[in-house]
Amino acid sequence: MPTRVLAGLTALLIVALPFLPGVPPFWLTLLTYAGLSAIVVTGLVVLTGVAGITSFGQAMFVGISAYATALLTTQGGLSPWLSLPVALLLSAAAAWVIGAITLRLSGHYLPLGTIAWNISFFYVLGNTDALGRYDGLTGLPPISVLGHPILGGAEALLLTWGFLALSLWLTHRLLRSRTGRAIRALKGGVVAAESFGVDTARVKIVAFVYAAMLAALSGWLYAHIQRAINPTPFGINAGIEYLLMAVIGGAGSIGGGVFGAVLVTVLKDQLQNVLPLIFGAQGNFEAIVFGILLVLMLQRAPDGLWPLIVRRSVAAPPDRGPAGQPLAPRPAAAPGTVLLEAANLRKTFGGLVAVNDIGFTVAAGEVVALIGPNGAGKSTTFNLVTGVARLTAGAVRLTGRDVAGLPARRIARLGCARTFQHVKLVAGMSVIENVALGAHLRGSAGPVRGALGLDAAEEAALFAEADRQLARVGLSACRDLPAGSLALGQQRIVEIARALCLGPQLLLLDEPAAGLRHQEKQALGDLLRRLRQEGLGILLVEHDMDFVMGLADRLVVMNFGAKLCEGAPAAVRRDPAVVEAYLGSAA
Amino acid sequence: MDATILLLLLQDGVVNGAIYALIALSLVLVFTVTRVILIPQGEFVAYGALTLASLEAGTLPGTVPLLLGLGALAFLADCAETRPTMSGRVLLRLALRDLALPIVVAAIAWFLAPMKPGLVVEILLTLAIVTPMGGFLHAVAFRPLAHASVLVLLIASVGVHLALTGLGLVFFGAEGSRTPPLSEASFPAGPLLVSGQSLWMIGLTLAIIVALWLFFSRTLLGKALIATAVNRLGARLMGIAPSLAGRLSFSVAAFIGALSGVLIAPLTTVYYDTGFLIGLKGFVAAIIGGLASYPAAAAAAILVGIIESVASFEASAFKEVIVFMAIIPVLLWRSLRSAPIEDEE
Amino acid sequence: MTVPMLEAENLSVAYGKVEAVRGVSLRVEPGRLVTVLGANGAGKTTLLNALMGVLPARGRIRFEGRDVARLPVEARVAQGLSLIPERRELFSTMSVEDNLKLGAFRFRNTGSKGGDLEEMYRLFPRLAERRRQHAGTLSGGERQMLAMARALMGRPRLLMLDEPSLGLAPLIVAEVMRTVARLRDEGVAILLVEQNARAALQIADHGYVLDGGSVVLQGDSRTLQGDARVVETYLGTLAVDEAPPSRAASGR
Repeated sequence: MPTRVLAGLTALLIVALPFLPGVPPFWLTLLTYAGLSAIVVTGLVVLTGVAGITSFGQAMFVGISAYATALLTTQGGLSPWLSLPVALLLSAAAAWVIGAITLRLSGHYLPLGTIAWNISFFYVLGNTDALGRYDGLTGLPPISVLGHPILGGAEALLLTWGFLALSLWLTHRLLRSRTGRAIRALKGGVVAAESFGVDTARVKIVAFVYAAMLAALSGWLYAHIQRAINPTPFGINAGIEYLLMAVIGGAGSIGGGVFGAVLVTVLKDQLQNVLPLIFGAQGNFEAIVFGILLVLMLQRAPDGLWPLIVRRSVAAPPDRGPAGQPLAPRPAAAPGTVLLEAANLRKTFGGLVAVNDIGFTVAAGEVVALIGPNGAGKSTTFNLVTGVARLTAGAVRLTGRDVAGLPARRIARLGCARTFQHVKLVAGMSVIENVALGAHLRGSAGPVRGALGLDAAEEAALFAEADRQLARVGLSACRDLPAGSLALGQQRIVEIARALCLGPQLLLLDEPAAGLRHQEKQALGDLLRRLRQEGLGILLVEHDMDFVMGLADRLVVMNFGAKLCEGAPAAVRRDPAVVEAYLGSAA
Repeated sequence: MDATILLLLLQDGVVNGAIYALIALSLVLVFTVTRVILIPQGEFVAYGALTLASLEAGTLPGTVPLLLGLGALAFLADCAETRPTMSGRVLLRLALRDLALPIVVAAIAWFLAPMKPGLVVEILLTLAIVTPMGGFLHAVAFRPLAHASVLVLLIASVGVHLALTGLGLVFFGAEGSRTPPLSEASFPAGPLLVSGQSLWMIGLTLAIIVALWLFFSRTLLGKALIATAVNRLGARLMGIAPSLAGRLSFSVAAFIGALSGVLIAPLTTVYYDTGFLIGLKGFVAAIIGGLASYPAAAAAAILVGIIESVASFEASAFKEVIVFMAIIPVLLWRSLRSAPIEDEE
Repeated sequence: MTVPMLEAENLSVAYGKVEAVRGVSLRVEPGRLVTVLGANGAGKTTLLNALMGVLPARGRIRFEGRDVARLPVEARVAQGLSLIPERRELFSTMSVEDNLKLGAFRFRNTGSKGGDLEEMYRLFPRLAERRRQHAGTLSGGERQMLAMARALMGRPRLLMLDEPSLGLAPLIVAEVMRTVARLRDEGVAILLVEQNARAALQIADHGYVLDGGSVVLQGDSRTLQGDARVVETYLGTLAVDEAPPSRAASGR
């Protein structure tokens, strides 16, 4: 069933439910709780399913908001509507601080940290007099809509699911926007995302803060529907349950999150009725079932149940809408202008000298090839130039500016785009969106503009540019296919289109011909010749001599980390040292 | 706070820290070998303490049926895993390990428990009941996820923790237990009175550390474990199966966990869910050591123990908060000196 | 007809939707040295990893007549298959001697013995000098020697080598190639992946050329050596007319 129809039916059902005869009021309450959880889980979908980072501590952000609004409305006498922004901002600030501390570290520190912090949060709530200790706070005012107080039952259900619908809509927009593409790009590898200018650490924080704000929205609603709060629903077990909902439903899609939230909420209620009868005692027995369920899901259906219900489809790229004007092409540098200047590059790993005193230049309108046998240090040199590896000594100048020590995303800003030896596209994302990622630096819309849909003009321009570059490399026909479904040769070309979207003066290609068949290599050669004619400077690292012989203006030959010789292809071909290095005087 | 109180707190901290050190060591071992962040380590601690307590009381511990059940599940999982190389001999080996061993242990426990055979036998029995659970859990929950990311393994680990805590409630009930100390003796040392119990704790911790060191440096099996931690593919190419390494490291973790439980049971009342907090403090230490270094983790554990004992004196209600907040400066420091952007795995 | 040591039929390996190896069939007879050649990205390393079980593959793999296609890496090692991967995968923080001892791990529970440490030290005297040093501190050539010695400790019946000449100076490449040839003479079947096509073809009995993941050419190594197309089209090295084959031979 298409997602859109399903969403419509669900909405209809929720709206109609209170008016159906014979629906027990308890169901309405249960579905209200499911909706509250679904708002939190939607944030987890963005965090876990899309950005690939996890938090066990979302209950803490729910709690921060709930306690904040409780204090502001009971002690401060504020209307809930006025305390909402404060509650949102407080949770966002907490998430920002936590994210800033842990998100630069490898993936498991954030979830571990959130466990510790959520437990601490629980103890703080339970031991602070001003927060009512374990008894909590009571007497919260209800939320009033148009002067009418929402006091539970059908009204609370509709209010909750209304906010859920709003959250889903915002999330949907956010994920399609420029920032959303950057979040989704994390799946294609951090190095790739950085190379076209995405500040991946910042993007992760954005995702984390967004998830915390959805949790805060849920906490605010919960506090004013329940009208009394205590620490229990904000403990670590609640945090784990939110993650369980995401995993069971399927963290890869928004629908999966909602489905998981409803399923787990209903299941928990049923288990709480049944299990104490089985075990003959009261207790938190549903944890056993949830724990086993969690492990089983990860083993048997790591994508969750949702994809088994809805036909799995790649998120469709934005509708074409009004065709935008492509971005104004950046002026090409005058032919012969030196774009890249590498001098005395040196890189050592421990005692091993991987790159030893390498120097070369690349000018506008020329193709320079860095060649040599496997293990000669070509890739390391390439990484030094692109800011992926740090120089031990030497200097790299891009259009006259010293870029040694700059991260890859800053180098991208200087008009330098690259491709990868092992293709790094986001496999599940459409070709056109992958290409549009390359234009990241040429847009400026942030998450707020994206979520609110105020970025239409810019988006149209970025996609027009992506379409133009895709046409330039001759792959327009593949526009809407998932990138992972293309043949390797086509994926390499898509990477070039993505690089061109940056509007570069200098193009760096890492073994573009590797794994290509003979004819594909010829097509690639033709494309690179055209780009050279248009004034681009191109540096390519290549192992295949035949490929570069007919293409490059100059060759730089490396062996054992050092430069063997440099010159025009014909001269290099006759150089005895090169012949020896390639054919091996060995055996 | 005067000097005597400080000394007392330090002593307390070191004794508690010794337990955290044991837990931190097993966490580092399991993580480096299997990439699993073993949240359920705390449950082994609780199971150890509660099993000993029910043997003390002369009843059959609830962990015995759990052991039998886990063994049966592990047998099924092992059969599925070894299907391509299945033979009569393999089946026999699996049946001995997964079915016969738990049954023998259960039979001994059933026979001895009502006789109250004395502390030493009860401790040995406790270790025999809890230790095999480690390997069984690995086979049932984690081996099928061998190719999953650290993140997925962590989520599964939390799932196992949930299930084991719930089962702890089923088998042991909501009441806590406490056991008599290993030794009633005490020795004056300056202004302090050092209890025999704390000497036991520190002594056994050191003994375990020495035993682990001998195992890793002197035996081929121990070296195989390190090899798996250093280079998983390299180890597989030498014929060291990740499942063997995983089972072994989980068993070591369960053994250390159970022993830690035996050691703390006389000091504090242990409930079915007490293990989680104890395990997490081991984690704080392991994280300070970067989840990689044994000496750093052990040293950090002592520090955690001291922070905890000082915190519980100064602000007892917030002692957990203070201990967990101790990781913030560490994370901050690691974050600031973290390597430039790299792709993981 | 003898049973081949290793026989792969219609082997395919895919990364996602991209097929890196497509329908490759090859065989290695007992005591023979077979080489697989091809440009970067042609699928050579993927092929070896699939044969070893490091990567999942479709198709049939038989080792000494037994179907091993569904066995995990360790079970293939137990049968006498061994791979020295491109990155060597040494235990870098462990001593040279511990690395070697672990090479014989597969004999831990069996009556038979693995390779002999002293024999390895005789074969690779440099390793004897460095027996207490961490493997991570070795030079490129020494690492390759350690990788070979470690594999030999497992007494493999078929040894697969992935680019043993990678990053080595010509003199050391020659030594490595001589060692490989000697192993063959001692009866170990060898499957050698090399980018240094000439060096490989000189010691090999038979060769396969991969392009775009499939076998495009195979034959007796002498025939392949003489086949100008091999070098020109698929190996991506210098054109033959500028560098006559005799030159490499004279370089000995």
